[in-house]
Amino acid sequence: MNERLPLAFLLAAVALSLYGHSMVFNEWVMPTYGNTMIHVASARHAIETGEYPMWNDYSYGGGQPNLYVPLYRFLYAELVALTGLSFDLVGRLIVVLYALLLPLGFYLLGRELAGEWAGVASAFLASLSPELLIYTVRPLPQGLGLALLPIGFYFLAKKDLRASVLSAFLIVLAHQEAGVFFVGCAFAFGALEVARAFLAGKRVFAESMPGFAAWGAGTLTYLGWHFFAVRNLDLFALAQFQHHEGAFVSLQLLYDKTGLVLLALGALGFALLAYKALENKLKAPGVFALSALLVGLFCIKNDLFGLQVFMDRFIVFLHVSMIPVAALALKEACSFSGKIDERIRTRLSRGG
Amino acid sequence: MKLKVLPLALLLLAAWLACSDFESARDSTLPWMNPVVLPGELEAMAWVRQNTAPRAVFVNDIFGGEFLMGNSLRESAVGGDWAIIPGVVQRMHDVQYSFYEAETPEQAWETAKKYGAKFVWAPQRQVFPGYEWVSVNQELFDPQYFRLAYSNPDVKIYEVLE
Repeated sequence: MNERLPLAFLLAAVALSLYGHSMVFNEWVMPTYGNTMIHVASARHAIETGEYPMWNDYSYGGGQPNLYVPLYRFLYAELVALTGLSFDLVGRLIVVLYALLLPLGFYLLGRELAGEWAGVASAFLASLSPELLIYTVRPLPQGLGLALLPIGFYFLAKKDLRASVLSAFLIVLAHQEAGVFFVGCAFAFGALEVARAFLAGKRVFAESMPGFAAWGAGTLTYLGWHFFAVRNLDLFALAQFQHHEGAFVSLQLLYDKTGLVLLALGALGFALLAYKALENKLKAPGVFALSALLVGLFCIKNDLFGLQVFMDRFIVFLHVSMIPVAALALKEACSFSGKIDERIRTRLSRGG
Repeated sequence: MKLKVLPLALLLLAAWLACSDFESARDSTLPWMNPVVLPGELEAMAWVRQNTAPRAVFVNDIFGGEFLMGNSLRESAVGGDWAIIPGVVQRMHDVQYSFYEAETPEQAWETAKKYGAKFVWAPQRQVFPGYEWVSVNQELFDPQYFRLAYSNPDVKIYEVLE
């Protein structure tokens, strides 16, 4: 087979992603839904005054510390300063950046899990999630977090210690929920790797280290930022926890926000991974994929564990876990149907 | 090379279903592209910059307030990150029901004063201060309490009188 074929398909997946995100240029102004402009305020303040408004945020009449993690705002301000373009155009171009990063990140992650063609399938499947498009088609920190997550997951699945720790640092400072999801997945990966290494008679510390290191780095980074901003570590005092922001996730809602193909293939992939895990046949990338799926499911049903915060908002993060697993399922389904095809041919040729 | 029919059929089926999912994803996303604010609100920013103090507080809705802070570095009684704002729910409730849906101009004026607002943003569209979408009741802006300071076809800006 032509070695350039996967690359051609990957480019097609990138083009599809760019087309999907092109609606960011539809209106006379960049999207305003989802608090896009509060980040512009901090970036603009940094540009116009030379200082980041750390101790006097613009929100709700001002006067409070700027708790929101700052990486996206720094990036925004840097891009405006470097290019001299308007905030509005830079916001839209940031969305183009997300549109490029998403299929490439999912390609790397899918390839690490199940090979070249699973990577390509993963890059395509990334364009099917309504939630992923909704959150990455607007200039938002969520978009940056979601664009970085598959890349961070790739490093975790590869067990690249330094890159995993760096990813944790960047993702946590890009977006809080993405950070929570990343460190949750890293911890679960570390924990499952302890079990796998123990059962396989391998060195437990070495096998679980990348996951636990990324978890520790991400957790300390956020706690450090939170304490720096508000001088306490009372995370549950945040309005989002106090008022239980978010809606319950039913199967119907999950279907509506996921789509048929991703949900069906994701469920099949989950079953395949679970089966291989029970047979003790999973390698590290598979263990990581399973960990990320389990954390995603936990997050969308966190009301069952007494948290009840952002359940529906975590659906998009479950999709990040689901996409490479769905690609794995598609690859396995093709492989299986290929074997059936072969058998039918053999029988027909014998019969003939 | 032998063409394998079943895997090809499977891929074609997945691609066909995926086309439908892709269109559905785009359709679900389109409403999020609605900017809500009006072009005249952006046009008003030049006046705001020239005639109000940096970080002056406006009574505004969430969309208009965030648009204002991002474009002019002024503040809004509602809008932004609510994570650590003391009394944030009461604040949204007040701006919704005691300002934009106030029963009298005096009640609206008192609410504006309560939150340190020097100006009011009154756009020609529905506003969302935190609970529900409502039209701006222009009858609230009695000259005894508010002075019209700026106007274009999309937005009026009133000064809150002392």
